[in-house]
Amino acid sequence: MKSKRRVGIVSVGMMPFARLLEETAEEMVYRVARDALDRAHLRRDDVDAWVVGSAVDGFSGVNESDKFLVAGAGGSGSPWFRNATSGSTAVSTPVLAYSVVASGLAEVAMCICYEKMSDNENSQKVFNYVYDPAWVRPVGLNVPIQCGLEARAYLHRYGIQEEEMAMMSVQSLASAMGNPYAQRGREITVEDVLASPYISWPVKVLDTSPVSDGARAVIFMSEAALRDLDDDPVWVRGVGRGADSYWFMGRRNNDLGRLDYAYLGAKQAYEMAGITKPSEEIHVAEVYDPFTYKAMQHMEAAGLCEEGGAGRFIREGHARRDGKLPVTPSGGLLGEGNPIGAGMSRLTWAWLQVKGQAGDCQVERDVDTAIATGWGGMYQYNATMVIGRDA
Amino acid sequence: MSVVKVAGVGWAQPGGERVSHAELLYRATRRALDSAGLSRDAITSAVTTSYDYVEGRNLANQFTLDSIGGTMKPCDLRLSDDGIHSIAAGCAEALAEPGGVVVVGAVQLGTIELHDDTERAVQETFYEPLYLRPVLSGSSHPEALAFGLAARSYFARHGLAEELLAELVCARSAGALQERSKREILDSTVVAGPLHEGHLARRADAAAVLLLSTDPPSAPLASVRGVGWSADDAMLTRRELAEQAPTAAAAKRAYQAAGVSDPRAEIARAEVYNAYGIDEVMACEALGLAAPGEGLDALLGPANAVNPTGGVQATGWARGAASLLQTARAIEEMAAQPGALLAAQGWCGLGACSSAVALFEIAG
Repeated sequence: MKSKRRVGIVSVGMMPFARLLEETAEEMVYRVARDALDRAHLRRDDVDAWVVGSAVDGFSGVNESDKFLVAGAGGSGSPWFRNATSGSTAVSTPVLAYSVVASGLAEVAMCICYEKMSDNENSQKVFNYVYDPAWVRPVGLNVPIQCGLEARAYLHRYGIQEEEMAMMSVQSLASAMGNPYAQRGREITVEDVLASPYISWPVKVLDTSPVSDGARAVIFMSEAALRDLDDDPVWVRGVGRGADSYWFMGRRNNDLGRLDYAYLGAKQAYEMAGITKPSEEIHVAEVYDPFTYKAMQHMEAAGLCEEGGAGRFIREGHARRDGKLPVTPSGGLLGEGNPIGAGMSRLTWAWLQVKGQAGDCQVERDVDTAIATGWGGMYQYNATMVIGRDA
Repeated sequence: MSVVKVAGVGWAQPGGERVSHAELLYRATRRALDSAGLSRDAITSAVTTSYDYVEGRNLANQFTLDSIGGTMKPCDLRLSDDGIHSIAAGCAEALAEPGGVVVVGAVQLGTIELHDDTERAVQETFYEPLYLRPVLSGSSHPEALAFGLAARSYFARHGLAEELLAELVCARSAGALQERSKREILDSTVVAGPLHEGHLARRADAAAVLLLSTDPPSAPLASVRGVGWSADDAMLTRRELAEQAPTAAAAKRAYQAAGVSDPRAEIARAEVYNAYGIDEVMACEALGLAAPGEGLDALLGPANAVNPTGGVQATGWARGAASLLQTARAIEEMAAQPGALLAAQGWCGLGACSSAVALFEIAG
């Protein structure tokens, strides 16, 4: 790294994830922006750039849907970017907000990610329109179907068991019981998961995060501004992104079971953060987990456990809130709900953990370093952000 | 801002040839890399932009990763804004990660023929569905309504004759494939009074790419002296339609960064959107190149430095990509004017509710 400016996170904005039929997207972004400002005792005028993200416009039925949220987010008359990379919006958007501050183009950037999925009745139809219209779309491919293909390749490659996927679900839904913003906190058993219907073998209903509505906000600040406000600052220590070919059937490693691009994103973030032994130096991880096997793939790509070792890692309890390296102690998307772009919740919870403000989700060990990841596009993008106190 | 340089530019327009989005953007990227003497390996980041509903697919430009040589790289940023916004985001990327090469690109195939009422249906999605969309009933060109309201508001505020706008569009399209006379414009169908069908730029296919870097490996074509971008809420009822406030706010930021205090005297050339004619007038005033209400006179005057190419009224409008293309062309055409300042503007959102401005100094 050369002469980039140091950037920190001063606040986050939260709201419950749920099917919010009577709440507009504008109201949602207002709630989280207001919450983030209030937590840091900031005013709207203290913010000088907005970076917003949502997965795709197809959920809302409005082209450039973000432009109708400008007033609600408090951004009228201000710099405003909209990023949209489907699920990885959750971290690629905060990475853009980080860059806006790191570059010196702004001192304080409000990053808001949102999704209002209940505005349409068939989210999988929306996802079908992500695919190439000539070759792939007509086949009827959607997210669960492609995830089934990917999960099958992953389980086959590493000898992972469906039971181990189920354990991830059990852990996440139980963790979500301590999360006041969660949609699906509950006690379930491995047997419950295994008995739930397949949506695309080997992925079952309880391996899958629920469709949801919601928003999250994160306020990024330059070092000079942050030091005036916070005597225990949390810094962005590393960012990394990986992207592979849109043509998932023609990628270099020819194996959907291994996410080369996710390994790349984590590697970049760790190099920037100076992390050489992630399983030891990271104290809590909020990984992007729309499906149980995705949590496991992302744990491995992030180096939290050895490649192919996520099943054993979960089975031995290391990923639990009281384990040696807690993974998604907030419940993750599996327990909290999955309003796609608002998966930035992973980053907000990572920040709350470092600040010791995670309430009933707070892990037992001390947390100085945490990571959040995002995944999306045509199963092709991955982003990792490392945050924490000074190393 | 002086540390970000333009290492290369490229664009592609297929003419009558039918090519895919991916191929067209590849051509533009290839040309930009060649102009900078770089290979694909030099690319470290990318920002592309597109609009899902316009393209008829979600995550519309995810394939661009392959076209721009971005696989297995951090090339995932995908804006739903204009091409000039992507220059601003590209500058953020370049400055946050000095030394890399950031691809800024956009592509649009505007001439694809849509079935039946699809074009109208797509334009309806530009409007909020509860309060605004229902009033579009019967409109043949829904997007034009926002600019028609803006034009009406502008002419009412400044007491100007609407025919002047036809004169401007006529002048901009002169000599181009899209050429039309003032009479043809005024005799064409009214799509959103006072706008006639003849005021509207024709759609086009185009891709354009800029390569940005703080440390380009070869001699740069220009440096980015300032960027600014700004948005107002898209709800028409919350905005002052007779002016382009987002462009004015964006210009103010860009000028501050560049130290420009007298844009009329200091800017040698400006390339702005003129898809509806009236947007060029308002952008000219918002950029400080004419006083409020004097934009038309300035643009029709002999010393005009705005859109010498005719803008999209002459070359056709590839939404999102056209502004990048105008910028790339202008940078190449101004090569013999070292030190000259180029202002590039582009808008997006309903009725230009979001705008971006980039200010370039041509390299010596």
